[in-house]
This record gives sequence, C-alpha cells and structure tokens, in this order.
Amino acid sequence: MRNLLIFAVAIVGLPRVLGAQGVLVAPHAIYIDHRVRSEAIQLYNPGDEPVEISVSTTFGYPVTDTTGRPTLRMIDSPDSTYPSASEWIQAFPRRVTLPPRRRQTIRLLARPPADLPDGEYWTRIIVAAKGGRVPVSGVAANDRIQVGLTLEVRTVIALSYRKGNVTTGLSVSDLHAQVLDDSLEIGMNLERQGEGAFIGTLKWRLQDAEGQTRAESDMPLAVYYTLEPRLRWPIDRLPAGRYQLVTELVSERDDLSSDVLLPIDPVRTSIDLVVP
Amino acid sequence: MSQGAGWVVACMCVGAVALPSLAVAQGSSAIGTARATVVTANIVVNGLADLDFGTVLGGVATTVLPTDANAGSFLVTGNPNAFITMTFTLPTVLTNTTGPPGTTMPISFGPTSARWLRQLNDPASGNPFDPSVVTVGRLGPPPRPFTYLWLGGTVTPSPAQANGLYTGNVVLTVVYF
Repeated sequence: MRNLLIFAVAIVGLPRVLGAQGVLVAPHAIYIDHRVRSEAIQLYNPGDEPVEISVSTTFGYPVTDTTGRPTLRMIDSPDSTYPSASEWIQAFPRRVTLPPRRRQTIRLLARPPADLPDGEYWTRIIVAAKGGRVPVSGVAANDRIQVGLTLEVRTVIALSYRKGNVTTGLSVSDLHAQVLDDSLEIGMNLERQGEGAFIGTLKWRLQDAEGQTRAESDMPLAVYYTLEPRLRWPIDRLPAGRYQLVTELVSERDDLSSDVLLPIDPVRTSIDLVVP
Repeated sequence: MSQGAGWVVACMCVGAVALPSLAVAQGSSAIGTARATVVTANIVVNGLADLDFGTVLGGVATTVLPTDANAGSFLVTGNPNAFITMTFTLPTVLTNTTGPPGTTMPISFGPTSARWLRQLNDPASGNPFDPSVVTVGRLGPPPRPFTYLWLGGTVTPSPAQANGLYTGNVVLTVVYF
C-alpha cells in the first residue's frame, strides 16, 4: 500500500515530462507459474507525445563487480548450463505505438520445452521506448546548423518462471564492516542455496554497548548465484567505543507480494565493531 | 474473503483513485487455488529535458555541460533504495537530415559528461560518470525514490559544415535489480 502511494506521488509529482521520452512499466518483476504459463505487464505513456515501444528478452542476472557494487551480467547466447527462459518467453504484441497518457497490456506467454525439468528459469524483459520526434530548439531551417537528438529509453526488468517445487536459501560468510567518518560500509559473501534465486531484503542495525540501536537501514537484494556486495550507508558520526553490527536477510520485499517470494528462515549474522 | 484477497481489492481501490488510467493490480488463476499477483511497485524512466545544443556555428565547437540548463535530464522512479545500472549508448556523428545527403558532424561525450543523483533534481551536486560506461546508481529512500541523470556533450562542426538539421539517437538503458 505504501508503495502504491509512493508510486502515485511519483507520477503526480513528476517534474515537467517532455513528450515521447519514457514509459512506465508495471510490475517491475514478473513471475510466471508453469501451470499458468502467462502473465502480463502494463505500459503507460505519461508524456504528451506518442511513444514507439518494443518488447524483447535477453538472459542476465545480478552479480557484483570487483568493488562490490551490483551490476548485471548479460549473456547473449547462454548455454544449456544456464536456466534461461529467453528462448521461449514471447511477448504479444512485441511492438506498439502508445498514444499520450494511454496504457497498453503486453501479454507474456511461455512456450517451454515439453521435457523442461522442475526449477526456476530466468530472463530479462527489455522494454524499449522511443519518441517519434526530433527535439530541437527554434524553427528548423536550412540557413543554419541545428542539432537534434532523439532519445530511446530501455527499461530492463526481471522475469522468473517456476516449475514444480522451487526452494531457495542463503549462506552468509565473511561479514565485515567499518565506520568511515559519516558512513558505514558493510561487506559480505552471499551464496544462494536451492533452485531459485533469493529475492528479499538485507536489514542491518548498529547497536552500542548498551544495546541501543544507533543506526539501521535496509535494502532490497537479489542473489541468483553468488554476490559479494560492499555497500555504504550514511550514518551520524558515532562516539568512540564498541558496537555490534547485526545483519538479517529475510524473504520480504516492500515492493513485491509475499506470494511470489520464496520463503527462507531469516539468516542473522553479527560482528563486533570498534569506532576509534 | 481471505486476507490476501482483501489486500488485492484494497490495492485496486487505491489504484483506481490515484491512477485512473492505469491498472495497478492484476491477477491470474490456476486450477484449484486462488492466485493473484499484486503489483505494488513500478518503474518509470522519463526524459525531463532534451540535450539541446540549439543553433551552432561552423568551426566553433559547442559544449553543453551536464550542469547546464540545456543539458539532457532524466528521471528514474521505482522501489526506494533499489540499485539500478545506467548506461548510455551514444552516437559519434550526427547526420544531416535536411541538407546534403551523407553530411555528418562529430559529437563526443567525455568521462564526466554525465551526472546522477538520488532524490534531488540538483545537477551541481550530482555524481559525475562516464555515460558510455555501465554505472551503478541507487534510487532514493522514501518519500523520494528517485534517481536523476544529466547528460552533456560536445558537437564539433567544421568551418565548412553544411547547414541543416543534424540528428542522432541517444539510448539510455536502465536495469532494475
């Protein structure tokens, strides 16, 4: 409910939106059950100009780079060792021109192989929106040099296809952290267990020697294989002393229904920290 | 009515009030069991302003900084605190669409031609980044789950550059985790 309100505020509160330069995609994550084999996404053009939209698929999953920041590993032609659904998820229609302030339902149909083993399969949906005009200032004329750039926006969201009983889990190792003046940096190694990706939330709190929480926050997290995030949060400057960092990984997301999340028992870890 | 079903109805009501032209809940069914998918969040990527070089002079390079008022600007809205990656696919030349066929003009983007910032539309405070390199950003916390992006660049017309309208295509790819 809170996210709906945030979303509504975001739409109402959007700064001046030029026409033909964007599209709203809902939902931002797709889950398809093998028994149903279809889902839908809604597209909405909030601008003043028509938008040409195309929908396609590609295989990819989140990883962390050498600095611990999340990024997406894209694989154009995944081999059979990857649980790719890219080849058999189809969008209808694949191309559409969306008038201003109109919506369009895109139906996603799955045509998996007949002998598909139980498990979870992934793809990424790419929604490309392109304006149909060349924006320039002034009046186009051939007695001067003018420049106009068209913009295409590609929104890439996740799709998961599940067949049979799919489970997930997480193992956490090497939790480490340090307080840097006005921020807290947390790192850990995460390895997914089971057949399905872990989609959930990382919560953390920093407690002082008296057990009082001095800082806390959370963030959405997705672990498809392994992840070694190193993340930094701004915090108030802390007095010198001993602290305890408590982290918890839970199968909850503010932005997703619990129906689509694979449950796990919360994974709690803690370490002691010294602020000099 | 189950608790879950009630939540769906509640979401649909809020959606109907707040977003009359957009369905924000959807459902599908499976044999023998009630099943509904509640859409509680969305992602929207929008262009707020075009990268505008205006009219340029032959032989005079024109640069728009990402902090300039005529820089291109974009807004990503989604789940609070979510990570995203941002990449621009950029042209190296612009093509004259109204003058002599085949005429082109160079356009370039440097390692600090783009900026991004959570929550606020304030390019001066933005984090510089190379628009041609995949960059990790993050949406703001509630109640401003936004990431703003700004893009500048340089066009370099030759002294004998033919008049006309030069166009090119900029692609912004936003990956939502």
